[in-house]
Amino acid sequence: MKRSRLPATLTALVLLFLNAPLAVLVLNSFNASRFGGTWEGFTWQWYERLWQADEVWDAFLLSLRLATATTLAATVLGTLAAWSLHRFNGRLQHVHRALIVLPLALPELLMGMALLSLFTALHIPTGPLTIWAAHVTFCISYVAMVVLGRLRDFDTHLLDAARDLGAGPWQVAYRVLLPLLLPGILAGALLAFTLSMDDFVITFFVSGPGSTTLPLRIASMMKTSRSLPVINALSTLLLCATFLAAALSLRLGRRCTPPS
Amino acid sequence: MDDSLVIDAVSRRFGALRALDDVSLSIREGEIFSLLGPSGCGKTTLLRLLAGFDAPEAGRIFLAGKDITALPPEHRPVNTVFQNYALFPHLSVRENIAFGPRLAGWSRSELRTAIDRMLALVKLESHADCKPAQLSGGQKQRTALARALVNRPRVLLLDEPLAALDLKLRQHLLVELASLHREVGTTFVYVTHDQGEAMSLSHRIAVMNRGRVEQVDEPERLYRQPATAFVAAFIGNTNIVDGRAESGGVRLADGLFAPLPDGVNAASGTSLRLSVRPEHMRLEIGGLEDPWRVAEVVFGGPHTQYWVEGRGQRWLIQQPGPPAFARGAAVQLRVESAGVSLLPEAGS
Amino acid sequence: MKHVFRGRTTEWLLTTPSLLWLAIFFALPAGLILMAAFRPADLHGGLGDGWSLAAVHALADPSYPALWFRTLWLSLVATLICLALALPAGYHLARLPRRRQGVILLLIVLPFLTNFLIRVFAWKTLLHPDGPLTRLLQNCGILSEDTLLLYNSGAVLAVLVYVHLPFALLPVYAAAERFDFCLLDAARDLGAGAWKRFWSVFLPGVGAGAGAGALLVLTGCLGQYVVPQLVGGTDNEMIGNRIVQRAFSDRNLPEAAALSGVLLIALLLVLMAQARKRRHSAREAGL
Repeated sequence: MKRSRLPATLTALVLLFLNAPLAVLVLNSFNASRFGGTWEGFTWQWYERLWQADEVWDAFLLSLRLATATTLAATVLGTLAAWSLHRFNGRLQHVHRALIVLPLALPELLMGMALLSLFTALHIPTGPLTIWAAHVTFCISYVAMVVLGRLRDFDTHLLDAARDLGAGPWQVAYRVLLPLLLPGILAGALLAFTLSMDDFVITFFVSGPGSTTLPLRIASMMKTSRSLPVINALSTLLLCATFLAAALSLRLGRRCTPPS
Repeated sequence: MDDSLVIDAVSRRFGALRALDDVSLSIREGEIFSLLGPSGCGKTTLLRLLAGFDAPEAGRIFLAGKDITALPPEHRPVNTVFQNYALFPHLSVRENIAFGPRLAGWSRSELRTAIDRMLALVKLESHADCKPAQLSGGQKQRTALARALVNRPRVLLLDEPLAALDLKLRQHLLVELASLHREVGTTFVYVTHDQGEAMSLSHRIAVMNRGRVEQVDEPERLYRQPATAFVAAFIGNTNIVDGRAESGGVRLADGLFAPLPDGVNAASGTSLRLSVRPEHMRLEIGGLEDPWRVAEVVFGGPHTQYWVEGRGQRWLIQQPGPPAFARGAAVQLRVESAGVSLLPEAGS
Repeated sequence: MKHVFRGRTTEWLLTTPSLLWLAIFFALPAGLILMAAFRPADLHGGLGDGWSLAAVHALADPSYPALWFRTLWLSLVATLICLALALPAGYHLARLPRRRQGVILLLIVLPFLTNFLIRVFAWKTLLHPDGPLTRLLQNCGILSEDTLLLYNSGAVLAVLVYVHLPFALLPVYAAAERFDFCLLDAARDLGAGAWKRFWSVFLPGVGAGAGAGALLVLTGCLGQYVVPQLVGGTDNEMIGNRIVQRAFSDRNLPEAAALSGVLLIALLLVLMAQARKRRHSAREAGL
């Protein structure tokens, strides 16, 4: 009796389904045709137009700055959170865990509405600072989850061993815990950076005048058909960046795991 | 010999569980001392107290006359070989061994000679730059030993160091451990649940049960003169039987007579409980009038074990050589005084 | 300092930063949604002074039931499709050799990490009347000249599945990877056919992962507004669109908050039920 081919076929179709639209997008970024229905010749013109679009680059720089600041804060907070969730197990951590998991389980729309209500109620003007706070909030959960996954494979006897060999509490953290968790922490940081760069929904709720991030800029570009091919070019560049980040993150995840 | 490590009336509870209940021990300088018992007997808890990972609720621990009860692990001249070795996966064998000395601030040349000496001692020179993931079980174990010993601890704690290895390797490393001990002369405290390991390696053994020490003795005396039924049953195989003293020995409940070893006396008529070792019982051909029948025969290579039943009593008997009796055979039993020891628990 | 990694003080020291942050920027705001629903609107799109039941009364708007119903069935159907794709794919993936798994995982994660707007935009291009898919289908004669692929509930459903599929795929894969495939051989040895093995051995084995994935897809879909806005027509609006419209176009934050509040409470109830069920089964497993 041979194994059913159904799962393999379905998997192939799923992969096609997930990637074909993006492939078309990349292809169309070099297509002279505006709507990409037919191939009308190779062109760099959309990339040239993108290069000249200052408002895109301004938005990109703002997103970059926000993502960096978000990553810094969320990595520290998320790593601490993961460590305390891993190390302790009481009523406090039950509450803590719920607060970490819920932002992942609730739709972004509600998080956006919640933060908008907060900033409106407190009369805080929306802008880069409120976007940063919002991004840190949902990135904490992702970082914590990634680091927690690493910690699950972590042998706590290593900490005992380090102390047994004469390391004080801080030396244990610095010489054993940090080097071993670093790949996980970096993977979490990378994820936080990507998510912050990409977020549209929550950002949309808490942005104000003068705080147009890259996704917000893309959203406004989508309203004018003139700039649609430029989005293809921009998307292709972003896809390349995401690919590099994902490959790097996969590498980080693989390092330090013993060859089996 | 001086007492190096003294444990004085130490207790430790986890909730309602008494993991250690008023334990006192004194371990001599330079000996291999084993803590032996089934899982949950408190031996690992005691080890963690000695290493400093945990603190007792009551009692104190002295090392070379100094109270170390409240000293954190990094300040104790005690090092541990962990059950799964706990080698740092991000460091090579050499760096693992150098971990302690570096923290202690040894000079570069001092460090180098000490590590080379250790690598030679545990025969890992050719693996010095390997990561733990690339080592075999035995090599990991030796790395863990070197990492602990390089710090020249007053006491080396070993937490079931052979439990993760297969039988052949275990026997081999046991011999290596003994020769390593002769070379370094450090006090070893060896935790194990395997009586074979403890018996072949240790100078003295503390048998633990339910948070208490049942008996502390040399291996042979532990076997010959178990102080309690638990020790008798835990160390090797035994038959635990009740009887009543009469002149020269004990009349057991099933009518069998057991002579007492020289120097052991009991007033006639007192109820007694005995341990009778199976290899000190003799089986002889019996007749139909004898109550004993062979119930089970288990061939064990150099010897054969028999289960014999009769008059509500079940005996385990071990004879040298291949099986000489078949199942169902009628037999007579004889007890040799060398295999008999008195237990404190009175018979019913 | 004796047991720096264990003490009560240390626990608070390590927990406080994230706990405080999430309390201020997540728990408190979530509560404020409910508060804002009982405030009057002000002219600038903010909250007025005093209290008002206007926003809560507005929930009875006759257009809402159809909207809620559409949101619910679109989300449920999308969730079911995601599961139907994720289960066989996860099963297949977990049985592949390790190296191949890594490559395929990258092919799943990459679209997942790509900017959400770009992914929806890619579909908009694909389904556009002048786009490649429409052209292809028209040339094959499957599609008539005047049929639109875009701006209908089919398009919304397809993109909802597209956007949320990795949320189902990754947990199912993670569970399948931990699944002991010898159990399937054992089931076959005992005479179970392929479907029987899948339904009564594999499915219970990855049930927790599939449940978690399905829940993520469902909650994600229920709160969706970008997808229907970009690829749906006016008849395909979901509740999220109305919330955004109330908050931004109508400048009526209280009504947006009231709608969000209903959604929030409904989702919290579902999540609590799921958590209770998981704790219950964990307790049973512990026996």
